[in-house]
Amino acid sequence: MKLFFITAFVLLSICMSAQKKVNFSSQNYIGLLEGERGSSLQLQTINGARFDSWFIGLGTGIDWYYLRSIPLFASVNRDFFKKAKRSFYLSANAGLNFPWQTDNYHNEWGYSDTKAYSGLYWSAGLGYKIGIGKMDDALLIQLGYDYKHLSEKVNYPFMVFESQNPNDKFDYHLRRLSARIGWSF
Amino acid sequence: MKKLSFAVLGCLLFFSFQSCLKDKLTHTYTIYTPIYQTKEAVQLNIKSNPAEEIESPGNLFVYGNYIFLNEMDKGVHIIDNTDPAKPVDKAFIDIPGNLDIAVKGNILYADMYQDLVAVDISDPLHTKLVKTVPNVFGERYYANGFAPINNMVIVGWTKKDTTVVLEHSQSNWRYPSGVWVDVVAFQSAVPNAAAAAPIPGISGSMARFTIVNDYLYAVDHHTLHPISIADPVEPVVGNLISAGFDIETIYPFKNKLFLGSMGGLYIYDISQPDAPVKEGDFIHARACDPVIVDDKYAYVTLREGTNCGPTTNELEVVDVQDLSAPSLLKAYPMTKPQGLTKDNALLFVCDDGIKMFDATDPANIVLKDHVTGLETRDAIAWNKNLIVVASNGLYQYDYTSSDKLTLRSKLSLKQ
Repeated sequence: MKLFFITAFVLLSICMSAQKKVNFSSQNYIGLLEGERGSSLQLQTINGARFDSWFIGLGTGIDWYYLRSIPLFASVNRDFFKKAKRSFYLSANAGLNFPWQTDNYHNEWGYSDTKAYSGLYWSAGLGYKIGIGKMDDALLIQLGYDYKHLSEKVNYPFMVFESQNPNDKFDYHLRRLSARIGWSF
Repeated sequence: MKKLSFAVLGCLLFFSFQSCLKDKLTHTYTIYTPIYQTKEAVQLNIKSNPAEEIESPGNLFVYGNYIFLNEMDKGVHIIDNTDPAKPVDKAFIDIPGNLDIAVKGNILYADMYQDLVAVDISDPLHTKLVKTVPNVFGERYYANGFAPINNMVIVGWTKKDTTVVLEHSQSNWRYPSGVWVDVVAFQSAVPNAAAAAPIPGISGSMARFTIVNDYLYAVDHHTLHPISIADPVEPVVGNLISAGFDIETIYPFKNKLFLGSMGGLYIYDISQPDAPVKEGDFIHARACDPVIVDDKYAYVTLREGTNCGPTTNELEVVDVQDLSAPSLLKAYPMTKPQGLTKDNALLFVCDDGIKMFDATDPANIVLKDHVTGLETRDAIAWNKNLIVVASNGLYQYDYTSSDKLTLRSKLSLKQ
């Protein structure tokens, strides 16, 4: 977690030291995730700084795919065309993914001794922005690939001799395609 | 043109990533493999051996200046508690499969899986096995391929951690692992006051063993076992009584037995000791529930979670003055309570540590002190000394002041 914030701070410092015009920018998405476990919704908000054709920020949101979770990540975008009202852009996010609740994650009867743990989150995407109006507002459309990891420890009391209390561990590596639509300003 | 190329490239990349959509679930679990010894070898070792560190404390039984503390599935620690401020772990009786104990006179009764063993503890540092009664506890069985082997006893386990990848086709990715054992646990006994034993023996509320006069009563999931110990070294198993479902604890009071089960509280009359008769019951929501009783009330803790059921966490005070129709006096919300004990008006509940209540008025119990930071399982209060079994040790508190628990000692677990 510490490494994440240090990295984000360093990135922001770099862009601040570029001595170019830096503006606050926010990107807010609603998306559809599609994977082996079905379809689900995703919400994200990424806030940071825009300068030149770059955008660097910190993001969070809610990810409903299979196990509901909250990602927290650093984000970097680069427009293909500088100062263009319309442009393709590349996006990369990396950070951590936190379980929505740390126990009873699956709410299975009889197995309430469960604990969920955070894992890695990253995504990459190709987007298209459509500038709107005179300001920096833009409509964003993005297709991408998402990965998140969560783990869970489950205790099964009375499943073995009482002196043995096994803690099983489950690691979920979840891979999805994402289609997002959003708004930046 | 450039923009169109990018769009086409984007779509191509998007669809080509379809093949990278395979979710992966890995399951890491422990494989337990039993270590067997012959029953003869095991019986030769049922004696006072050098003291061992406490690792997995189970139920406890206080007898005179000694604390007998179960080490789950392994045996019994003999702790000299002459000075509660300085308890000394003196010896260990190896009894594989042991989960509960009871003492009467100089004989300690313990389960060894399905068998009942009687151990002479006249000299706690030189105990010896005097009798083994086989196949008493039929519900203690193994499954998942570990069927009982004639004349062989499981004395330990080797463990191996394994990670497997689960197939996507499983609709529920999670399933139990390792060895399944359905366990009968029985707990120690409280001699009836009328027995006028020179040395008091006291068990905890999580007990599934109890001794009343010349009978040892043990419960497992569905059955009440009356066992005559009129001859202490020759226990005789009586007729089994079908007592209901999911029986967990047993507590004696006068000539009654109070059985705690996941579905409620069952009351048996033992005026005829070899033939207990059900007298009444109090049904509650599904939960795990140790019970203790005084003259008028039964105190039951209900606990949700694990295999107890997703219900509630509370302390119920049940009016048992009419045993044919017990009724709820009051329920008090708790965190996740386990064992409990009572000494006159002071009620102690293992809940988020240990709580001490003034229960002078059971309809209005008042919290007097709360020691937190402990994962407690059971407790025994006697003679102003509260003994608490916790996940990290055996604690003893002085409750001479009814307003405060003062720590006397801690016997730590193996690190």
